[in-house]
Amino acid sequence: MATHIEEEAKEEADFASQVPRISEVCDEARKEFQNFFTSSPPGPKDLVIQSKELMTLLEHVAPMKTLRSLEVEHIYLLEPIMKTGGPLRYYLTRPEIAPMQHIVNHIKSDLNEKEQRMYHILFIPRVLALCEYILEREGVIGYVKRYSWNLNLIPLDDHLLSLEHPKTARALLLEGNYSILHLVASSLIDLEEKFGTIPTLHGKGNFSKKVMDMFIRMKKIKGLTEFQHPQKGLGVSEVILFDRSCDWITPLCSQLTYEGMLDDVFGIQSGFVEFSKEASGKGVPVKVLLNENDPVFSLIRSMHFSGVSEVLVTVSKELQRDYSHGRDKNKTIQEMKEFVKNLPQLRTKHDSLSTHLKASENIIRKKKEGDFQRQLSTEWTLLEGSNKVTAYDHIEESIEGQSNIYSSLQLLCLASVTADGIKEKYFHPFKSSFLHSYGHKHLVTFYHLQQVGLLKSKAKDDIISSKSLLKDDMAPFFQLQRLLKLVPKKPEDFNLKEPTDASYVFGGAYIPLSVSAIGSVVSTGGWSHIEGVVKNWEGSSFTHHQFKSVRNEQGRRRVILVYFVGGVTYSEVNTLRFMEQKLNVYFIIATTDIVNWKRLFDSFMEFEVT
Amino acid sequence: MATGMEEDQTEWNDGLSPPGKDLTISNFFDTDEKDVTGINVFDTKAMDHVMKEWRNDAHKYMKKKGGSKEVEEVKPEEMALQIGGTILSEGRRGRIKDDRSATDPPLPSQSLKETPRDRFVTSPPELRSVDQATPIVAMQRPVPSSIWTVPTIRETVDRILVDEPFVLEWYRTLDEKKGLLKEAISTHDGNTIITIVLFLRSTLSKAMFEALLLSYVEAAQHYCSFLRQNTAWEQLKNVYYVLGEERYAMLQYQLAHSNESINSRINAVEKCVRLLKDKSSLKNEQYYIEEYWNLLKRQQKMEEVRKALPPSSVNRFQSTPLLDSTLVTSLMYCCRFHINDQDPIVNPEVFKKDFKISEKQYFIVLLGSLCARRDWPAIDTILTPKSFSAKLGFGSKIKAPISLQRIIRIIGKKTYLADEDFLAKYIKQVDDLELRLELATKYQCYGVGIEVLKGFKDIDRLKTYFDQIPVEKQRKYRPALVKLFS
Repeated sequence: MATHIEEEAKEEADFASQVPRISEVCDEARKEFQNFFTSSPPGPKDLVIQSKELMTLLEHVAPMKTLRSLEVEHIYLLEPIMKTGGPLRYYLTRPEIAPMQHIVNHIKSDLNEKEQRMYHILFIPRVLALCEYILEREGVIGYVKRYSWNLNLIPLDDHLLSLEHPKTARALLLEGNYSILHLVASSLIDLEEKFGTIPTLHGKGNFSKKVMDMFIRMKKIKGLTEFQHPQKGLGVSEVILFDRSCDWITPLCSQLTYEGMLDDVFGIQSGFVEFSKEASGKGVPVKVLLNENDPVFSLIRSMHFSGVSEVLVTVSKELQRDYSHGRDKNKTIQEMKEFVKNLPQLRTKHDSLSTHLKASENIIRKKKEGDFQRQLSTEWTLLEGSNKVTAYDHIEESIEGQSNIYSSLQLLCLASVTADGIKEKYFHPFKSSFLHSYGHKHLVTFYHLQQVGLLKSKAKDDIISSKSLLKDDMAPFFQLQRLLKLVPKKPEDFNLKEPTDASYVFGGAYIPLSVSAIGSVVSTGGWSHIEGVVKNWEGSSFTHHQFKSVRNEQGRRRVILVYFVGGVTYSEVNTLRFMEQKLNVYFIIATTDIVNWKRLFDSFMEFEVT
Repeated sequence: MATGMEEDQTEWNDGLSPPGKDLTISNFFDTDEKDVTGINVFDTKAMDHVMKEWRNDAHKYMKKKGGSKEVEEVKPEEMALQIGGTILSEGRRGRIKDDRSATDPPLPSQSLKETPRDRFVTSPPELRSVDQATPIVAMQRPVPSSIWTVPTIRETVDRILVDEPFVLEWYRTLDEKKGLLKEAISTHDGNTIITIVLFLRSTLSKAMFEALLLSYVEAAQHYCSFLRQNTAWEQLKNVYYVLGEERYAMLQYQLAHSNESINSRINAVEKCVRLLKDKSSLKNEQYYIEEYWNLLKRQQKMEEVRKALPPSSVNRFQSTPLLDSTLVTSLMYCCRFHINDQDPIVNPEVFKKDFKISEKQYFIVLLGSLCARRDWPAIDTILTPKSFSAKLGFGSKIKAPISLQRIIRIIGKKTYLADEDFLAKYIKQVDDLELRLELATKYQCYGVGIEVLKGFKDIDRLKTYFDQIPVEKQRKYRPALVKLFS
């Protein structure tokens, strides 16, 4: 028996050493970044960064220490006017128009004042025609050196890669701008170069299809037609591309895992969470990096929130024991040495513990302010599709009572997406009171949400009301919900602390549609076995074999890349990680950005919510 | 400003700063240029050949155009522009050197893996006259004349897709342009589509360009997204005008909000109202926009009334602007401060009528505003039914268009600091006992809770319930409990 366990452990360790190391994904980008600086003449340099988001992002690739070693003296945020700085200036920006105009202004004003400077612009991830168009039109292109910095996927964590391209859902769905798809396709090519050709591509959704087409076409143009083995270790055997627009439900639900709640309450930006002065309890805002290396966070990140406090208490007891053990006077010198050696570790653990204790306290307080329980139960009612009247009553009350605009939108959109539209006779009163409560400017928000399909008004049908009620039940989501068993039967006797079922991420009420479908594809090897699902789900479902799978060893754990086009939520990441064991696979999750309901709505609004 | 710039630029453009000078921008680029050329071994003979050919081409081109300029004066940069057309990136020009003919299969992948240095984009020092016979920078290898064979549309688009140099000016017929657009759309790459669209915009008349946009939705989307990013609102409006009234109107409406002054905003919104008049497809939107227009006008008048108020009535609304608040907030203001005011501008009843506010909505706002004023007797009055039977104790004891539970949720809001007795009065009205108990606990009306449990005759539960009550409140209920147990 013991040997069996040992064997398993060995196998596990063996596998762990073989999986693709995604932290290496941007090694080249790191080198490239250093080259930009080292190739120019020595001297102090100024780095002007487009936005705070990019600053945060940069910490993953080139932390402060690296920047110092590259002689970066000052770091500025890009602003319309900039008069300070030395003769060597580097701009770091995404290829967008607004920053170009600022840069043009800087150069023109410097020229005016006969200020001589060298300008470099690093574009993440590539120089776009329209940026050069602006520089050229304004006559400053000759003064600027422009580089593409091919930084696409950034490893935010052990399993998680992100392009960190904000507002992708808006660009793709509202504006119909596909620039991001190129980035997805080329990042896939880069991944293949690193981890070997991926034999099989699955996908769901029209944008995924477009990505695959572009991916194949680009590979052909570049002459990458040969099968390439991974540089070392295991290769990725499959990639599953998934469109956000195929599952709006999941990002509309309030998140309940610790990580998800942190994101909902504080907002996680490129893996960092910033606690305000009040929330940190230290009198200053605190920025914390959240990842697997955090000894406490790694324990609780994917847990349902109700179990978190228990774990935190256990950890604190352990810590106390360790400390008191250290203070024990009857110790040998050897033991003492051991303790001192572990001291830094204990300290990190201690810091981490206090951070997360404070954070969970804050979450509880925040959630108590609003009627969170009621919000949750309404969300679940809508997912279940049972008692619509109660749910609609709550939506109405939430809007009329001017409660949080995001919560109201969450419920409204959820009601619409689950039932494939809200009936006209409800829709118009909702819209009217929404505009009255939150301002008429949100007519634009409504219009945008309708355009992207998050809100829909269902025309009155002639059939008598009882039948049309039945019709609601026939909405595509409810079909999928039944086919994939997304809503478990008895959420009451569900053990949230030791879950057996992936629905725990939403309090036992719902398994994310996206993850459930991905699970089915992984276990059955394609879409053909879940025909019913495919039939009821809008957007193309496809499988494409680039090559016959080379190593198809039975029972061996496969490495699968799941790529979310348009964003992924932390809840989905947590669920996928939870399902790894059951499916006997290793997931790498890649995404264009990380979304939650708040960021999603923000991206569709033209006005800031006050 | 303009003259200063020109001066600077001339200084820049000579690009031949004396050696040994301190490091300046111009000589920095100069140094760098040598660096780039220094790496490459030039085949001067071949270069001469290329240059000759190029010059000839330019000659022909100039003649065709009827230009009388001496070719010798044409600087390579301009020439490239004239011959090759707009080469979007000058950096890319340096790379029209691939020695394979245009019909060659895919580009070698290594060309994409350039070092940052290769990506250097320079220009000023190149502006030397052709006479100097100095080879053009980065022309590393002899270029066969076949470089001038027109690549197929697909090849060109493929080049754009993988960031290779390309020339669009080959394609001059409308069919070719359409072909380019179609091919670009088939790549699904936004950058490629934008590149082609911008090329079409610069080479086609406005009418032709717009007609093309109309027939290629994706192209139009990308163009609009480009304009939106560029905040070129006027142009965007024009495009939307062509594409459809709905988006045009919504954009107008959205932009109306960017007017800071209330008067100009009212005018802008009025324009939208007129624009949408008699447009059946947006009847619903039109209604709300008109409502907003009326609201703004009303708020303006209300503001005047408020200014005339005595300064003694300082309140939350005195400091926050009424203008551009929401309809509900405006009504709330009326209810709070002008409930008995007969001035039709601020009288809440008139406001309700003018904006067709439903009884229910009005009631909710009124209730909220009374709570904010902590005017509990007034709340009792509006909630008490006036019918005779109710006075006798029959029928419902509460008169309201919303449920009792919801009333309790409103009056129980922490910010209103309602008295315990006041809340208890309404919680007692809840028929369902378990629910009553729950509400009593939630709103800390423990007296009601104890009553309920007393009715249950469940001593154990009562004891546990009592333990739940915060210590500072326990004292209040202890006598009642002691009496009960004895």
